[in-house]
Amino acid sequence: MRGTSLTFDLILLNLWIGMCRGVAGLPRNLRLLGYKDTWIEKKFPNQDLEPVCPDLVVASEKVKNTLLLEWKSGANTESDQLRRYSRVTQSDLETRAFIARDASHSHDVVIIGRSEYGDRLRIGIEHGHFPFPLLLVAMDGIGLSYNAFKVPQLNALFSPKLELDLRRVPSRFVPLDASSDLWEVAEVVMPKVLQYMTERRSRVDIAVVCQDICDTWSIMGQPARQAVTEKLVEAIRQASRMHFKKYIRLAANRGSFEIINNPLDLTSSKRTAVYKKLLSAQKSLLQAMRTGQGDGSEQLELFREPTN
Amino acid sequence: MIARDRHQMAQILSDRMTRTYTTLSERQELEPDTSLVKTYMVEAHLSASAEPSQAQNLARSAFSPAAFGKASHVKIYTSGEPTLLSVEATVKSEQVTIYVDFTNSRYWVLHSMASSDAADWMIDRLVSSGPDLDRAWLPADFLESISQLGSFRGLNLDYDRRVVPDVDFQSPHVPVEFLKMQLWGNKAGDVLEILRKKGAFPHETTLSKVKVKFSLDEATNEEFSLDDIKYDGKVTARGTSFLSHIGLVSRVYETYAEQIQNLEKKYALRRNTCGDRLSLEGSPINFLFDRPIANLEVFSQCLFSCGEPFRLWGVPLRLADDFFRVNAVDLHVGSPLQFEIAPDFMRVYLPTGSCGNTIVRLYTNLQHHYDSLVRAVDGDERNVFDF
Repeated sequence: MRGTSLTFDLILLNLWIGMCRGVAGLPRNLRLLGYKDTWIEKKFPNQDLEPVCPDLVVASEKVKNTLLLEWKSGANTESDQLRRYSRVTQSDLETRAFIARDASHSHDVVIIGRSEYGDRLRIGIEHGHFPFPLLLVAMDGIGLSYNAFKVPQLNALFSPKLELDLRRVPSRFVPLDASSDLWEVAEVVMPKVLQYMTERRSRVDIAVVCQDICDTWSIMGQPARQAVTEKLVEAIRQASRMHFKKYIRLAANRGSFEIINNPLDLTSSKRTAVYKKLLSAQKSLLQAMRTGQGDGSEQLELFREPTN
Repeated sequence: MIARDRHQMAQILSDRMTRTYTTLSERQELEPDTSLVKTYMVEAHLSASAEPSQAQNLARSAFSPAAFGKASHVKIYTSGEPTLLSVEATVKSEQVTIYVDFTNSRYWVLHSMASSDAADWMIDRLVSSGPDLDRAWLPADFLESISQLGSFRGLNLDYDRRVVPDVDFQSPHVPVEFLKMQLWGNKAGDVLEILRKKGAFPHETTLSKVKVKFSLDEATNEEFSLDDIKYDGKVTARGTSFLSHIGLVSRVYETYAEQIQNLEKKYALRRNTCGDRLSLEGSPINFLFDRPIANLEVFSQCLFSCGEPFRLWGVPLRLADDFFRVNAVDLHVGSPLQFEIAPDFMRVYLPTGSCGNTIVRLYTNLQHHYDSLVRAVDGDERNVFDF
């Protein structure tokens, strides 16, 4: 089974968190510079009390710097958004974004986009005379395309390119968002169902599962929550009608599902056989949900457009 | 014999241990297995601060006839203490008594004087009866440090790559597939050093058992235990001092518990939400392979096939030629965990609420069935374990 289709946003979110945490297989430079992922989608006001909401904030007391990271999956920047970012001060970072004083000594707003949209993104930044570094992402790395960081080591790191293999970025810090595919939701939720079986639950509310599987649930807006919920219900519905039919049943109102057959009710020798059946069921479910994506030789689809 | 309290239990076990050793050393005979005290470290899926009643309920359920079958005639006896039970059973016509001491609700100690066959069967059955109990797994590097707690008197090596057959064992230049060795004597450390040298068998030299002479009173050294400590948490005691035996077990268990708590505290991934603020804590554990994984697909399938010894459930998804992702479940405890696997590393994400025991078991079994030199490191490439 091949292929992943994390959205551009999730790839970058997981990648930067992974680089800050010294995850194996990624460059260690950011970690060595002392950067730590601090907030995900933290909204805070600038000096004019206008909101900004970077996708990720990373900060280093070691090099006394904070990076406000903004991903752009499309070709355009929003001039008003950039203007609001330009009005963020050290004091805003300290008092409104709760960044440590040492780390907020200097900061950069970093725009990160796809390499194929580099020219268009650059125009947006150039047009407003913003000093924001522009990083462009390709399959083989991330390069500094325009402007410069305040920390010289970062300029050296991203010039011409920080080489990395985007197919091997971590993806499990934040595995799902509102744009995730159905099979990605099923990939995460069915192991959770096994956990519920182990906990001997007989009925589980969909709302509980949403919070259990979606790390950003607490900061999601209503439309995004709705999208995740619908996908989760659909994943459970398909599982309960097909491969997991013997084990789970979706309630008529779709607000919960029942565990109708629990391997834990069996003796340990029989239990292993059932776990193997559940493993085959999961494999078949994922394959069925991905029907049409070829026979296992398809290329990685990294930069899928968000569907919501 | 049923114990009314832990004091009496200790007396029973101590009498057996010292009487056997004295009698047999006078006759210059080896001890029959049935006369030896066996201690098993078993970890419960409970908080260390859980009420004794919770641990007792768990023990009662784990030793129920449903788990052991009616033929075993399992009977549970309470004692004068809320944290001690005696369990009697019949295993292949042998009468077995097990003392279950859950003074620490999470880290249980079980003792028996039954034959290894019978007592091991009981423990196997106990830990496979449900997701609430597992052995305390002692990695090879931990066993080596345990050997330094006293006088190092022997070792067993146990490596079996056939569990993860990701190479063709018939072709030339393949790594060693199987290595077992038993060595008694004071030169155990020297032999270990030779086997680990480059050009010898560094990837396959995995300690599975160490024999340690240990004394609480190092000055006189007259009262001692001669313990065989095995990687699956079983300790077989000989010698003249039950106190020394239990002292050694306690030292080992304390270190083990520290490692488990450290794993859960430092590495388990958790979300922190405060208003509209979200941050993550914890970090994946990086398993590094000194010798790259030969066949990622076979490796992944073997690890996640639900079978022993890994007992992991998960569908490996190939994301690139040399990269797999697995959303898995640890069937021992029922906790989900995630893996990303490349030839030279494996990232393991431990969600909050998961048991650190999962990581120690994985690490131990990789040493025994894949590569003795596998390392578990943090984001700064420091060893996760400090044994």
